[in-house]
Amino acid sequence: MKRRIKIVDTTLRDGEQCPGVVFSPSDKVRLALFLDSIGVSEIEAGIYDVGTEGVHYISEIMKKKKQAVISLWSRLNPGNVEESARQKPDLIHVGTPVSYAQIYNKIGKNKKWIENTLQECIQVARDYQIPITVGLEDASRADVAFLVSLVRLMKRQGVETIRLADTVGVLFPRRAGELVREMKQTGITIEVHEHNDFGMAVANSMVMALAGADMVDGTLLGIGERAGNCNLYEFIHSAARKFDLSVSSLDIKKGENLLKSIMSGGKRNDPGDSI
Amino acid sequence: MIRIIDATLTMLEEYPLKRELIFDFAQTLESLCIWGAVLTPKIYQLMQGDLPKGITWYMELPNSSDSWKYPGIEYFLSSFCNGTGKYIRNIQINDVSELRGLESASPDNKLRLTGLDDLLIYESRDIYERGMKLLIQASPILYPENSCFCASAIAADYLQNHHNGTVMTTFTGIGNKAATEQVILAMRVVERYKPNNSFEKLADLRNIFEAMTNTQIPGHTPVIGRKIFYIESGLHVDGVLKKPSNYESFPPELVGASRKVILGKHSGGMSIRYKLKQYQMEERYPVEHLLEMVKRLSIKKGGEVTDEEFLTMMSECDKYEKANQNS
Repeated sequence: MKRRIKIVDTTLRDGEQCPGVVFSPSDKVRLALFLDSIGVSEIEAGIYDVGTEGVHYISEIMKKKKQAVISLWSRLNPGNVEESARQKPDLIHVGTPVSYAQIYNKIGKNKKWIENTLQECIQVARDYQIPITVGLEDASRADVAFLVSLVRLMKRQGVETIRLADTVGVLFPRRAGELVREMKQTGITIEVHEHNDFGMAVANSMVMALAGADMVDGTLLGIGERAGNCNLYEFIHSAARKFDLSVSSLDIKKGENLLKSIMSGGKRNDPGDSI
Repeated sequence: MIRIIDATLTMLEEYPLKRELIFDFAQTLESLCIWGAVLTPKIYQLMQGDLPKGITWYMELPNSSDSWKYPGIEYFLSSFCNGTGKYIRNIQINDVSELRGLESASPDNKLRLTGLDDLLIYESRDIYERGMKLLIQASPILYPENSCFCASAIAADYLQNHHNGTVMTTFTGIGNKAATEQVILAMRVVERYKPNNSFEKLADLRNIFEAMTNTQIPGHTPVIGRKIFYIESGLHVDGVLKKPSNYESFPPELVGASRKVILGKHSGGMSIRYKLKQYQMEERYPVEHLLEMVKRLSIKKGGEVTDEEFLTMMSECDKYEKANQNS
């Protein structure tokens, strides 16, 4: 029997980070409901952001979806987690910087601050009785000892799933597999999130799944910042021979066509805009 | 020593190629530390046998007895040769289990292995490790295929495991192969391959390739896409402006590209301040108000807000302010 790997679609969140890509709330509802209908396990519907596109689309997706887990992405900020929780998604994903580059250079904090703030975020979500996953941002460049100690701390707080995010796309197959095996020792459920800076996002996701990851993230057409994310069609096309994915590459192709039709509705600036 | 051989020219026989462009393409490969290039008899004739120096030339030649017709070619690739002297024997391998056949290969025979699409989709890690060990022992030129979308990763993985390995690739992966630019830059970043060499000519290579094939490479193609260093979201702009390596795995200059802040739905205040600074008008405009206008327009048009549109917004702010002062 094939091992089950859950597919997490992040087109509506990380895919929309691709400069120039804009989804309206109704686009998001259309795409989310399509992904739900074809068996995608989890749909990352967006970032809680009342200022840009409102929050009504989230409740509409929650009301109409059949089976997928709908998650919202939140910064490592108890206030943001609370605002997300008020939208009553199935899951909140807390993006947590873990590499020294991200902790010290980007947000100007330290490891202790990360641990404390993460615990506050976990508490807020628990108060609202909404499960969270913790996204270890830039995990590929992080100190593994810190990752392991943070994961153990989270497990004690009741977190069941972490996302290993290769934020700048610097993983290669050998290290990608090792990272999952190292994290797997903590006994936590592992989700992997690959970027395609060197054209290796699909291969890395494959190797990480083979090394024991339980969930794989990707986007339709591989859209995302810089060179994009793991292309869902390519991953599913290749991985279906090894894993039970509960979604077919044929259906993903239909999703790509829907996405193309939505994107072509927007005005394009030049032919190089094609994804 | 790691060696990368580019076989792009073998994939371009059907295109209306010009001799000068082929020459430029080959010369640019040489400047990028590509070890060798492969061509076909047809391309050789088009170049009238005048091959750029500084690069090792290979030729796909099914009938090895014709090799005397091609001076300047150092090695010939064929499935029908014994792999000695100037001849490299091509073997197609469709499954990792077929690598067992390498156990009996003589170390004197030169081989090229084509295929191995599923090397990274192994049944068990043992099978993969045994296969990699056999590959390192036989040390063939590895020419992975891309039907599982893993060819560049297979080539990079082979070179990471085998520091005297040779891989064959094509630019953009044309012909369902590993992509030259992805493998070379992966080696540069991970293995410090040619650390003193600039790879900015990758942008030239892209332009020549586009001219040869009359195509346009999509903007977000890894390594060579024109838009891979465009940033929009507030989080990323803030991170990159603080320190580019926060969100960039290599600097844009390394590959002849440049960074650009795009305005749109996901912009933050930092992007507006950055643009105002570019126009030397940091103090003059209310950032929050402009940000709101940018987001609104981006959502309305379904895309990015251009610099011209941003300038129009600034002048609208001026008009509004003037009108308020006069009233």
